[in-house]
Order: sequence, then C-alpha cells, then structure tokens
Amino acid sequence: MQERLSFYKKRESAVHRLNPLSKLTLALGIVFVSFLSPYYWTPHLLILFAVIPLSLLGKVLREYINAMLRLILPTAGFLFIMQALFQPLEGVELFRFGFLHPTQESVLFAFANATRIVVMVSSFTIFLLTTHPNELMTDLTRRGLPGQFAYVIISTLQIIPQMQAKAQTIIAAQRSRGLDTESTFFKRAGSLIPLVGPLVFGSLVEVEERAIAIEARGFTSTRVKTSLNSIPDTNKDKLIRWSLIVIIIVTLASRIWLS
Amino acid sequence: MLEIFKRDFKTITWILIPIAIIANGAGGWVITRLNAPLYLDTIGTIFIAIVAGPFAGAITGVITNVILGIVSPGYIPYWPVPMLIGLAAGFFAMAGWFKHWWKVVIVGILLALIASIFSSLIAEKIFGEISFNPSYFLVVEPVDKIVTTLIAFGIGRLLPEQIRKHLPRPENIESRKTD
Repeated sequence: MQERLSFYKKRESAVHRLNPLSKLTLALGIVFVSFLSPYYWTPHLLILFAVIPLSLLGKVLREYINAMLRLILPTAGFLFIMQALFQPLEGVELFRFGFLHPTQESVLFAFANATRIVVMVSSFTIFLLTTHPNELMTDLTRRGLPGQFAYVIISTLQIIPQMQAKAQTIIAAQRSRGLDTESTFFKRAGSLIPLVGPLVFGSLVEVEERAIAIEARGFTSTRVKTSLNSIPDTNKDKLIRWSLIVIIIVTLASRIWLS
Repeated sequence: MLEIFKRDFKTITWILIPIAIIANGAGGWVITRLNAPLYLDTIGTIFIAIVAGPFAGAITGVITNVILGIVSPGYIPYWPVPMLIGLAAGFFAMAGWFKHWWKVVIVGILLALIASIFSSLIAEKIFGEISFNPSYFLVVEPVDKIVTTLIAFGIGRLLPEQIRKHLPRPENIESRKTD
C-alpha cells in the first residue's frame, strides 16, 4: 500500500536538486512558450529540445514514456482527430467522407494544438515525477501561500490511499455478510448504500478529531511558522527563474509584434 | 465580504474540503464500476457549498478538477463548471433551498442547466463545434444533478449533531432531530 498518492520518483539528479519553485517556473515557462510562440514549429521543437532532455537529465525518461503512452497520447490523439475533422477551416480539401471534409489547414491546426497539449501535460508530468508534493508545499508556504491551501492539497493526496484501504475493508466485510456486489444493475446500485454509507459517515466522524489535532498544531495561528526541513534555494535557482521570466516576456512580445 | 470569508473558512471547512474532494472522485469511480450513464462527481462540492457557503464550494470544485486533471488531463479545461456549480449551490443553500426534498430537486435541475450550458461552451472552444445531444441535455445532466443534490441533502440530514454544530452554516440544513 502506498503511503500517499504521488508520482514522485526518488532519484539523485540535477533536476531533483532544483528548488521546487524553479521546477514549477520551468514547467509553466515551457507551457507558456508553447502556447504563446508565434512560430508554428515551436511546440514540436520544445518536445525534442526541452521536454525529452529534461526527462533524461532528471533520470525519469522511462516513467515519462510510460505516462506518455498511457495518458498523454490518447488525450492528444482524441483532440487531434476531433479538431482535424470538425474544425471548419477554409483551405485545400484533403478528402471527403460523408459530411466530413478535413482541409489541410484544419489538420495542421489540429496537429499544432495536439502537440501543445502534449507539451503541457508532459512538462507537468516531469515536474510531478521529480518534485515531492511536501517539498513543493513547504517551499510555497514559506514564500507566502496560505497554509490552508497547502493543507488541502497534501491531505487530499494522503487521504486517498487511506480511503481506498478502508473501502476494501468495508467491501470485504459486507460481502462476508452476503451482500451482492456482482449481479444485476439495480442489485448492485442497492448494494452501494451499505458500502458508501459507512465510508462517508466514518470519515465525517473523524473530522472532529482532525480539527482538534490540527488546532493543537497552530493551524489558524497567523504567526510566521518555522520549518524543520530547509529547502535549498541557490543562486543558480534564482538565475533559472529570472531567465525563464525573461524568455516568457520575450515570447509574449514577439507574439504581439510578429503576428 | 471579508466577514463572509471569516465565517465560512473555519478550521472545520479546511478539513471537510479534502474529504469532499475525495467524495467527488469516489462518486465518479463508483459510477464507472456500475456502468451507469451518470457522473456523480460533484457530491462533495455541493455538500461543501451547503454547509460552508458558495466560496468554499467553488474552491472545492476547482481543486477537485485540478487533482482529477493529474490523472486524466481531459478534465482541466472544464474547471469553470464545478466552480460555478459550487457557487450556485451555495447561493441556493443561503436562500434556504436545501430544506425540503422537492426544492432540492428544483435546485438540481437549475444546476444541470448551468453545468450543461457551460460545459458545451467550453467544448465548443476546444473542439470548435457545438454538439447538441438531446439525451445529454434532457436526461443525463438533469438526472445526474438531481441525484447528486439529493445525496448531498441526505448527507446533511443525517449528519451527527456533534459535527453539525461546528459547521459554518448549520442553518442551511435542517437536522432530523429538530423536526
């Protein structure tokens, strides 16, 4: 059983050692450039010269390709087919099949859009593979993110595996009492009440305990909190962040003036 | 405005939000296992909107969307939909529409209207065309939202008094014992 829901892979690499905020800026920077750049081939080049090298540098290429095949390509492929077939763009007609008549322009447009989606999801996948959620939240809280938001994200990721374990226990318990979970639709729907009921009310009862526990740790205190784990933020990190901001501004400017 | 935020975002709200997010995800998961043509992925959002006000509901909706988006990126562009559902459900609850089951059904229909209009608008932005599917507009979305609001209403009804008294807006739900 996993301790928490997370894609994080613990490795020793230059990408892992970066400050979480730098990695977040990097991921957002790649997304912004691929969406804002006025040149057609930018998103495609970004995959070759930014996304894949980063996954190599972070030693997560295998996990990245895995996620790409299972998650990213199906979504992008669906989007490509939908836009290529249904986007009403004027231009050279490629073929006609019933009411479908994709043009060269619509296919090119769909290809660029699908690649942008691939870039966006890829850069966030690599970010999640190389950044531990706790590290990110600690760093962002130190920089002024309200602690409550950090609590919501981290505890959601923590509760999911706990809930799955609890649901398995309840299913096993109710089956041993002869509950039907595998026959007709209405029987299965009816069997949900004794399954979901204990789960929902069980977690609602825990709410009070949790409230006392986090109040005792100064949850609503407005004083500046100190952290046990210090997350390094080197000059290199600052340099990376500032150069990314400059790149984003340059892309935005070229978008405004060149198109 | 600040008063509302202070009143709604108590410690208990922040603890309920993660549970609501998981309830949203669990609803969708249960439905895929049943192969029913419903979503039931806004139970938690609507519940939070009832007991902790529209803004807490909106935040729950958006965070759910982001976290589901990690697993299936197709969710991400639709983030305004759960946000609006949370906001609207919160305002309906403030107006006292979550106290009788027949009013809850009307709220469900109105929320279905909001959800279907905005998700079609977003789909149009992404896919470039409006696909008007009558069975989705007239059956799936209303039935889904009516069932969802009724479940959220039912959970509120059955809530133990010891938790109810800590909620930011206990007056939005009527406990059974006071009847």
